[in-house]
Amino acid sequence: MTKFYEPGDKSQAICPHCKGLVATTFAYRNVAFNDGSGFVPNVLVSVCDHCDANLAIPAQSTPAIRRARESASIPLEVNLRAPELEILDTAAYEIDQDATSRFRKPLIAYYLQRLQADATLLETARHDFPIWMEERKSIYARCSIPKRRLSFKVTPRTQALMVELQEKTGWQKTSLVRIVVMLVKRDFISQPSPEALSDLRQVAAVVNA
Amino acid sequence: MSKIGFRTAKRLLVAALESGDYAHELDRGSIETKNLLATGRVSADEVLDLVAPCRGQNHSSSAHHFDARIEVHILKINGWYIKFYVLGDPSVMFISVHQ
Repeated sequence: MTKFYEPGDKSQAICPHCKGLVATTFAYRNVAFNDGSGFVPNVLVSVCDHCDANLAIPAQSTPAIRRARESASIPLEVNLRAPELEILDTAAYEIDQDATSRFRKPLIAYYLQRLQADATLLETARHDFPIWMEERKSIYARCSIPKRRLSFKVTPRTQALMVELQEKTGWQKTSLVRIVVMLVKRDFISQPSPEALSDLRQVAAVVNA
Repeated sequence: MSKIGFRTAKRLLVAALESGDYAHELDRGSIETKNLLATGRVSADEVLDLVAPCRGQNHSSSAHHFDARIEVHILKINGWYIKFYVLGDPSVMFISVHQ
């Protein structure tokens, strides 16, 4: 690559506000992604000399766009019951005693990845989930159970993974997370899985580095 | 609009990709996330590989709706869609690069 623009350099672009080809000047601006997933801070853009609109981004800004795009930016919010969050936190504590509730996200991401990669696991989950939900309903019917909102930001990659699983299974986002809770309970409380523990300890070591 | 034809459009596109003299049109001031070259999901080299086998039948063009002097080119190949216009020699503005 040889072309490199500096702030103040001139160029041209079509301006939809001015409705035509206009002269532009390169300047640093914050620019949002059009899918609402966040923005790129202080990136070089081509700005309309007439109306000050951001019109274009030069090739050299792609690395900054890529970095911003890869960072967690898409909100994931699901409403669960308190025991479901406690299952996640119990597993997180067993994986790494220094883990805080921040480890819920990597834990969920790990199981979503496994569901996507392992067709047998997905089929087992399809079969077991309705039974699990009936059990949970009867537990929740015993007394008043507080609701908890699980809320964090995920990368476009994790969002795409969830959408793929949703399209494959017809499950809503909340059901997907509940399936993860079901699998976590199985692997860490009901039928402890040394494999899952080992995998997730490695994840924790990276995440907490 | 004076049309430049497929061969010239391809030559200028290749030269712009090789030299890095290209930019990506924003979508109402925001980054078009479907533009995979803009977001770094594909590289300029990968787009060059896509463009290399393009022939006349992969190309169409029409006047830009905001400025009829600007010819907007579309290359469609192997499920890919590359939409751009030429600003200079070489200097290209991508509207989208997606599959």
